[in-house]
Amino acid sequence: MKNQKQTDNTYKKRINLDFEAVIRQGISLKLDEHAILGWAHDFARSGKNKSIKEGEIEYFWLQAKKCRQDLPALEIKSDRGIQKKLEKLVNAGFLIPHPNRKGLGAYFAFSGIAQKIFENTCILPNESQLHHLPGLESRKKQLFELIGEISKDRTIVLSNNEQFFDILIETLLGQRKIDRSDIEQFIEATSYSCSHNNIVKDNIVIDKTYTLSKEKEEKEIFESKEQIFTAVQEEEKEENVLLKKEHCQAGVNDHEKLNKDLAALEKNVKAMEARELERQKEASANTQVLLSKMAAMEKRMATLEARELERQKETAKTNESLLNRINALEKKASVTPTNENQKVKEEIYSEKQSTQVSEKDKSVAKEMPQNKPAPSGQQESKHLVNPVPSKEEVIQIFTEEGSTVTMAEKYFSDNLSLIQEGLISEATVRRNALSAAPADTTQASANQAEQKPENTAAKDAARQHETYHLAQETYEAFNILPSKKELGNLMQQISNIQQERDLSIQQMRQNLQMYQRFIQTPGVTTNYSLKNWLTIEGNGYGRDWSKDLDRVQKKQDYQRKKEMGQIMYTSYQQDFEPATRPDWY
Amino acid sequence: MPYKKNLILDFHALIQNQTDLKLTEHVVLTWAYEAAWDGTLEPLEDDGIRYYCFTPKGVRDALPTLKIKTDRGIRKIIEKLVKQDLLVPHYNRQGIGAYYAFSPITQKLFKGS
Repeated sequence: MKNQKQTDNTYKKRINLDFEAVIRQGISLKLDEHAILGWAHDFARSGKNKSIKEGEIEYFWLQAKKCRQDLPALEIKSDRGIQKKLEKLVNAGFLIPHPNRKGLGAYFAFSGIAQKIFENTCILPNESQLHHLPGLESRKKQLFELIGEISKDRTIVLSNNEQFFDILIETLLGQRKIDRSDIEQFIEATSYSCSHNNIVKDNIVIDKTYTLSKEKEEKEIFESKEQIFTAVQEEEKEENVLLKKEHCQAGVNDHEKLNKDLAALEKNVKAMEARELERQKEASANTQVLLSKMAAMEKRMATLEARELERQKETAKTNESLLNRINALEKKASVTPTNENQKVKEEIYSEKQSTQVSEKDKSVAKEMPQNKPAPSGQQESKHLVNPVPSKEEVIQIFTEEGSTVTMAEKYFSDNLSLIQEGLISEATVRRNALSAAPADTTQASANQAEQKPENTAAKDAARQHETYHLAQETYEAFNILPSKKELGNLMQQISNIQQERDLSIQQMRQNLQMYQRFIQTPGVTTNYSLKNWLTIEGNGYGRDWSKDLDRVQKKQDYQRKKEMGQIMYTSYQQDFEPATRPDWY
Repeated sequence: MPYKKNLILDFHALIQNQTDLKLTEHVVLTWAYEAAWDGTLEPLEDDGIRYYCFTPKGVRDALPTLKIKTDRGIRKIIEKLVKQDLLVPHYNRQGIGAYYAFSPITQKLFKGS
């Protein structure tokens, strides 16, 4: 406000704040808002601003800039601040914005509440009130003295107000006498020229800010109106220019926006293409890697197959050689005396075991390439492992083993399917021939025929003798005195176990001895019953007890050494004192 | 004290005298001047100068629309007016109370009213 120039008369000089109306109506209104509302009312009724009348409602143009200029005392620095205040007045229900506010501008009408606030505005105080006004009497005296000087001859009674005003008007009209009616007309005429703000209930309010001469006032009004008109025109121009600019900018903006969108789309497409290429590259690289892996796998498979074939061939060869050897041994066994039979049989047994193992390997090898066609060499190897004997060969074997030709033919016809499938080998045929050979044979094999039943009988006798001894030892091991029947039963069970588990009598005896030694060692609590020993649960004859025995013996040695004090423990040195706990612990 | 029903703010005088006042300060000063002249406030004449008692309560009662809730707020406004040489406090303010006189600037402001 300090910066406001003295010559600048665009501001509102006076403003009336009717607190009574506000308080009576119970309106909550801030001081600045009240001031703005008062300004708006005065400005609207001054006839200096534009207005739109729609029906009964009159909307007045309340420009924020004008408000700010008129009310510098509010110290609102921006138009936006005034706009906010106007908005608050709208929200509080004092002002009604025009429905087409965006199109027309800041046009507002005064609501009923606002009208009520301004109902009592600028009330001319009555005479009784006037008497109480400070300095009124002295001013009146001064004025009368002044008028007395002018009127010269006349005497003025101070109490008569009507006379005073008559003289005053006459003085103003240049000593021309007028009637009361003329004065009223004059007052009415002047009242029309005043703003609405100065007429309240048919009373005239003489505002000191507008107490200029009529011409001056008119001139001022004209100038201010002209100024406002030019200002409005300039504003409109500015608005038009701004609108045009906005339109242009909008057009340009639309184009720019489209171009931007297009550029963004192109960018996206390029990025997608790049990604697609990368993906393709990755896919091709992956396929190459996979292909190389596949090739490597194929190579590996081929080498494995080759190795498998070689292994099969080798196993077939070994099997063949073993079979030959078994045959030779069997032949030898048949020739060798009874004492050596056992050894030979054991050899045959071991050989058979090895062949069985190799056959098992072969079966495993067969299972592996299930989905693949059988290699060409497999049939050959099968043939080699189990050489299928022809009818002539069977007859020959049977005749060799002391059987008749009819028996051989019968055997061949009975087992034809098995022989054709390769399930019966020459060895089995020979074995069957041996078992099937009658006691009295042809003359050519008379010596052999005599020897062979003797051999088998000797074998059986030896076997029974061994089992008998084993049974006795077993009962001794379990501290049982058996009866003959029990011995016989045990012998039967031993022979069954022997057949079931493929165990030799010697091995069984060795295991039994080991078990005996094992349970006799001190500290061993294991003690099977005979029943458990014979069943598979205790592993009995089939278990190698030497390992358990070694373990127990080692334990015994360790304990013995420990008792003797041979084991040195790590101990603390004498000068070393272990850490003691603190007192508070 | 009854509230002030009507108040006319003379911005023209302020601008003419280059006085920087906030709206509330202006309202308080105007009320004070009018209250002094219409006999609402009892004067204390000392050494030819008339002092008037502006109690914060009186101001708050007279101007409820200012919505100043505490006496302290009114005192602050009065202090500002004192600082701007618009009001002159009594030299024995602590002894007699909140008595203020209108400075020549204030009198000049309200001369035309």
